[in-house]
Amino acid sequence: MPMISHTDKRSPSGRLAIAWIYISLFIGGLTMICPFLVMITGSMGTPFDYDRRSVLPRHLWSRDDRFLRVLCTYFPPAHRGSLRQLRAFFPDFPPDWGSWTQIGDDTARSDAWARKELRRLDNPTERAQMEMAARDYGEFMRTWNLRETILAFDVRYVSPFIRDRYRTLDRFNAAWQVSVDNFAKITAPEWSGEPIDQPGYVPIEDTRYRDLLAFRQAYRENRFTPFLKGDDAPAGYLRPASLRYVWDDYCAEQIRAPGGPASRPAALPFPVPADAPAPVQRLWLRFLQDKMPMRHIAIQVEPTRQEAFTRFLVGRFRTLDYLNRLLETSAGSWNEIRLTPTIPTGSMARVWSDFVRTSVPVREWQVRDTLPEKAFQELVLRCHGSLAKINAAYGLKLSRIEELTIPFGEALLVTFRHRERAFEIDGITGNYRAVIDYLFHRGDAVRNTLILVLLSALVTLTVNPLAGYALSRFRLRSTERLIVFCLATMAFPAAVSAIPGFLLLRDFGMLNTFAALVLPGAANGMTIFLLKGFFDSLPRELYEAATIDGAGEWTIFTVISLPLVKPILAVSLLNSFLAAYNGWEWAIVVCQDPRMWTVAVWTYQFYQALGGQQFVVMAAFVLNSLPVLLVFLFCQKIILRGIILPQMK
Amino acid sequence: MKSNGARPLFFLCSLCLWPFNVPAGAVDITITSRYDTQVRQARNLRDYFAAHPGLHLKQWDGISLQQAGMQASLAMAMAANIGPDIFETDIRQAVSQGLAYPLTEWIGQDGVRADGTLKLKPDGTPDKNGQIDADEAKWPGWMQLKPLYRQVVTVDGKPYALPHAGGTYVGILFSKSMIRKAGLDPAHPPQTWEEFIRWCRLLYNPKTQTFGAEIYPASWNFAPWIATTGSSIVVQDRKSPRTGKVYTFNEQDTEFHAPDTGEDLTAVHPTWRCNVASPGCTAAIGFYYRLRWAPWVRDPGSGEPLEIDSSDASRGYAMFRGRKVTFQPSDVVEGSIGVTLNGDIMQTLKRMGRDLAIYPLWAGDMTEFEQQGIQPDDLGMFPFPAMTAQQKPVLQASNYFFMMGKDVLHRGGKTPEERKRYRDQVWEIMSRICGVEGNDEEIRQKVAAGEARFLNPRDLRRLGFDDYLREMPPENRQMWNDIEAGKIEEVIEPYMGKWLQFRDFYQREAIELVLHPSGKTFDYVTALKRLEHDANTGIMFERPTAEIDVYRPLARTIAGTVGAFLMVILGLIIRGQRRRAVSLAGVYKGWIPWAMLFPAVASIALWGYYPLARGLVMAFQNYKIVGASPWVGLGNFIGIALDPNFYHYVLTTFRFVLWNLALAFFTPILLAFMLAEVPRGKVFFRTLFFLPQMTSGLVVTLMWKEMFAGSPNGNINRLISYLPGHPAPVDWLGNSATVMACVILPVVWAGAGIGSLIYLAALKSVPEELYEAASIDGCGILRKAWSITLPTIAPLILINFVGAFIATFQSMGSIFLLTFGGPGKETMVLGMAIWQEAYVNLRFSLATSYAWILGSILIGFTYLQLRILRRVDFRQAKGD
Repeated sequence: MPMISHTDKRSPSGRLAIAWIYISLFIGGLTMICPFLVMITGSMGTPFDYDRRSVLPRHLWSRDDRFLRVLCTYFPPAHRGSLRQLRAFFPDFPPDWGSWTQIGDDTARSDAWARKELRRLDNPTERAQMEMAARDYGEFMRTWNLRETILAFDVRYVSPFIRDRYRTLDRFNAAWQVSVDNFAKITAPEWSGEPIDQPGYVPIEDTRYRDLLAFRQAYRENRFTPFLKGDDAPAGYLRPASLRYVWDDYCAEQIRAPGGPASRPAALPFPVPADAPAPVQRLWLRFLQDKMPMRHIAIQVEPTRQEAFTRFLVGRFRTLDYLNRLLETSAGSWNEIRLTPTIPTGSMARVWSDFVRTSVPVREWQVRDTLPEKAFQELVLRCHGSLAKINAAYGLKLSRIEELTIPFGEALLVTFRHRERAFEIDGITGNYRAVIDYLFHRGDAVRNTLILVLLSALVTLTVNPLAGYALSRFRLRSTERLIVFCLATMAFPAAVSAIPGFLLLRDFGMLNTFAALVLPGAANGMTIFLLKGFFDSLPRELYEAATIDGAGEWTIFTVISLPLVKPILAVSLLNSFLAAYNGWEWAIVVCQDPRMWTVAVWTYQFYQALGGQQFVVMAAFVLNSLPVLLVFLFCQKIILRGIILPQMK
Repeated sequence: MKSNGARPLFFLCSLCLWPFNVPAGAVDITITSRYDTQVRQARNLRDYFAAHPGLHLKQWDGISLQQAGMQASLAMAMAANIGPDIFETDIRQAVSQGLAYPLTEWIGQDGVRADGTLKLKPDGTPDKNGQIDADEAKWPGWMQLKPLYRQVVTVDGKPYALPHAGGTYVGILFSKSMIRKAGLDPAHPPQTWEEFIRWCRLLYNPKTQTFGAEIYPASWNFAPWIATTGSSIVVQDRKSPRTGKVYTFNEQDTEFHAPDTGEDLTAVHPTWRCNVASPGCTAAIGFYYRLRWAPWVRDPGSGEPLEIDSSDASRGYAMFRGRKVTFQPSDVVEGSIGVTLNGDIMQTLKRMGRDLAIYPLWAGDMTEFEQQGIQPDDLGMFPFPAMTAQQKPVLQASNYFFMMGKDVLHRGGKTPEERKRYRDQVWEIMSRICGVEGNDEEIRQKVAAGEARFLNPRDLRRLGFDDYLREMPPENRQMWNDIEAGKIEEVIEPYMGKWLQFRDFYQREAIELVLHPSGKTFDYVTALKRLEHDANTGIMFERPTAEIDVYRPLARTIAGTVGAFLMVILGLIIRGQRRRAVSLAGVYKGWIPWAMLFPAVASIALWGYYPLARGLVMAFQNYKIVGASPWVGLGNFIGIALDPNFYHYVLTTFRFVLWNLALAFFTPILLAFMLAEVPRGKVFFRTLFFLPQMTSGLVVTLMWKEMFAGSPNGNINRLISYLPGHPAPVDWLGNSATVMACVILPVVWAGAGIGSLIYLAALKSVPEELYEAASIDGCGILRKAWSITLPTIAPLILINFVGAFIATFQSMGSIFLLTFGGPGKETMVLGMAIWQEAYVNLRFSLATSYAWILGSILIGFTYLQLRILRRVDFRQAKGD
């Protein structure tokens, strides 16, 4: 009953007291609810907005936020040079934005930027031009060489893809020359970081690379992203490995350098054609020599050049024996090593590019069709017929076709406009799907948890009630002694018996079984004592009546006594569920084997393993909490009725 | 009745022992994560697996625990007999606990010739020198290992580990271009400390005020400086059997001749001790101090740097080569090096060649950091210069060592032959992983790429590419030649004693304190003395038994008194419970109650009493998880009593309990009072405060850990950044001023709602008439609360308080997840210390001793609790 009576409430001091209490409760309630809101918002987060740690998910009502979230999945921070490449497709993307966290923090500017980009779609003429560019881009990507692409993939799809491809781990391990014991553990880290901009980079043509190409093909077919199917969503997660930005950066650097060209040409062609103005041409040749990835270069092979190559080989390898051992070949003479017009793979790649750089005049280098920009320019020219028509269709003022860039940015904007909802749903559920995949493929977390909860419920309903009942129902000579026996272990801290208990479990061979989780805590002196008290409060006439009716002891126990102490049993059941479901401290000591981990242990492991992706961890937290939340929502009554108050005798 | 009861029990038993299914025919060999199974295998390993289908190498994965708990995962799995086949940890610690299986089957052992015959001295006694010599080694690779490594992996004449061949050197990396720019010659690196400090000063850029040399504060790159003094962190004492004189050798020595008599002391059993307060080790720290803090000026005439003292500084000039060099206070530079304080080595390294010229780090060859953008052309390395011209410069090799887990003994099948075959396979894989051939492919690629001149000549020679040695830059070649010629002393990090444990202390309490911004006034001599004492009394080496024996009589007296006291209390408890003796009339004599009681009583006996008894026994042993556990009497308790850490743990526990009770215990009461008073919205607020209960404690704690994150992005740091003045972000959990509050807050927060329920129910039982009467008497709210409400619920508060006190004392609350006892030992409560000693250090006996001491502290409270329990009845509260 309230201390502040109705009369008090009208007095000023009473009012003040009530107001003060409300204010405190309100503030307290706020501190209760805010962390959970942050957790739920975080569970839908991406590297772009997680670090805001905001209470409400802004992307639900801000389209600008949604657009940037989508951009973040296309240019994930873990991938090599992501933001620089993003800026290549969106030229007015602020150069001082260095990380997604920073962009997410800078709400005002990021909103303004996104709004400006999205507004381009509102102008009908501009929109038609963008749709045209997007269509051409889609056309180009349908057949473009998979080797020269970059894939912003979701790690989650790697292991199902590999599993489908190889079926058994043995075949996979043999092919990849690794030893992995679970498909779910395959992460293929090198898939996200092809150094496409490095001059010497040539992929090694091995199984891994072929698998990567197949994976890219699967993405191209939208096997993992069904919502991107259809012609109106041309910008998939696969994009061309465009290199214009390397050239752009090079020019900018040379202009800044002392003695460099005075200013940057307004529109830079890429690749630079032979009829370009001399200063650009000079810069371009230097670029080819210094920075151009050699896999896009072809040379003429002539007899004199082959001779020069042989001389170069002698210089590098000294003896044929060295060469054969280093390259694992069996050449009988130097001439057997032929100079190829394009870069070979493996150890010869560096030899070839060193030779070309030092011995072939850079004017004689030819840019191959493997360069995405070049291929795209050719395709568009084929489609539209002439530069004038392209300018009209795209709304550009190009003076030469080489100035045309790949319109991935336009394609992305168009795709976003057409698939806004699908993107948002994918973004919100992404983290949750990752957690569920993890839980179901990396062990038997769900099965283990179910079994454990079931077992501990069973134990709760048998061991302690049986003992409490026996002590209450029957007058034994040693009742008192038994109670003392049960209670006295409480006098010692749990830590004392935990370590020998662990060793005992080991000696029984019970570590990593459910027995280790259930048995040590099965009987509890305090619970027995409490239950005995409740059984004591039942009228003894009940038992007598039942006995007269011919009921056995078991029947009396199960049919008559247990139902009468239901509220207490319900609370014990609830507590045992919570202990089994939430327990992890004892579990990490006695169940080291991942096959025995429950959901709670996995949640702990998530936190350890996925430290860099807290948004996924937050999703794991939310999922972990759901069962408990449901149980509490349905069991509020039980909890309130099960409160036990001690009273002095 | 019987059948009804038996069914669920049978079901229960069968579920409990849910078996794992292991596919037949396949053999999985497990290895710890030091070897990454996701990385492409080396060819020698690939070939082996191709020839043995069905054999797999599997990554061993136990639970991963945070921070210091990393070790626990391995230790616990080993204790549970499910450890990995191949693992890596401190060799001597693993051997002393019986975790490693000796490699004698394949390598051989001391005192037994390779052909299996015993090696005897002429007089017929076994010829043992503690080492495996050439005629004792069965494995051809053995004698190719460096003598020092052979010594490291050999314990008591048995080999236990193999060094991984792909090691690197810890040396001083430098940028050749920057060195040349400063007018120095990279081909003649500094040979002594004096020259090194001169280089550092000449590399200082006065325009930008940046140091050309930088040091990352760590123990692994400080240890070589100690070796340059001719001393070492750990030393061994060997007593001559002839003269009785004790000679001290360095840890890294491989030959033991008495300097005066020339007597060979190899066969003498050495005593090891930590030596960090020796003149040499102190000088090394002193050198760091000088590098960091000594002021100097540049002589404008010669351009030479010139160290000044305080009197020079005050009078404004110093004498240099007989000249007077005058300077302004602004000319004085304090220190000669920068310090990497943000912990980011790679970020610092990327400055190499731009504004950083010298950085002590590791490298296998000059291509080590090519991926990070450090050009091999520009990178050079020189050894740590010697203290004076009398000593040798030093390079520290860093390798890791793989051991075979003890559990291989039970694996592979039922017959001894099958198990032997399994062990052989483990050995084959292990020796291949450690083999030099592992790097061959990479080296070939680098040579073909024209990088031969940056590689280690040893690899080039081994693969037969000697011709490339000629094109190697002279300054590169010189270091490798000096290593071969023995002009450079090669050392490794300490391998005796618990170095892994000690190095944390050493780094935190000596090295960092010198280098950190506050280090100018740091008294390192005293700190080192204390560190050495601590190291030799438990942290690194066990306290000598003789020292413990001194305390035995006193300990016996104290233990006897405490024991007697405990017995009295225990007697009181039992007698108190039994006071109400009853008549024997109407006693039930059937077997049914016993059958019903059996599960509970048996369970309590087995899981309550047996562990207690066993724990008591263990406290007087030195428990080993493998093999026999020797008796040590009161040794554990004496060790604890002499350990200053223990008192720190107890004090921390008291602090923790006090704060916890003050906040976590009384908040629910206050909340219940408030909830009882509000006229409207009670259920709403109750549900709100109940929210933390609707998730798990784990989630709550980890969620708070996220909030306490020390980065500017942590929730709380975000919040405080909105405050006026924009306070700087606080590392809440890494800061000893805030950490205690941070580990308690989540408990208070989560417990308020559920805790208030019981008080809320109790408040309902206060008779309304009393309040009304009081109101009529004109009592205020506080008065009513004080004289009516409190007395009514006082018994409840008391009971809960005793329970909470005991529970808090034993618990580690959220400390395990939030800080694991850190930072340092700041939140190391007894519960946490017990966990750490048991499962990280596998010192089960010490841990149970801690637990018994904790129990003794609490026994009085437990007695009180049990007494109260007997005086109350528990009744269901009235429904809402």
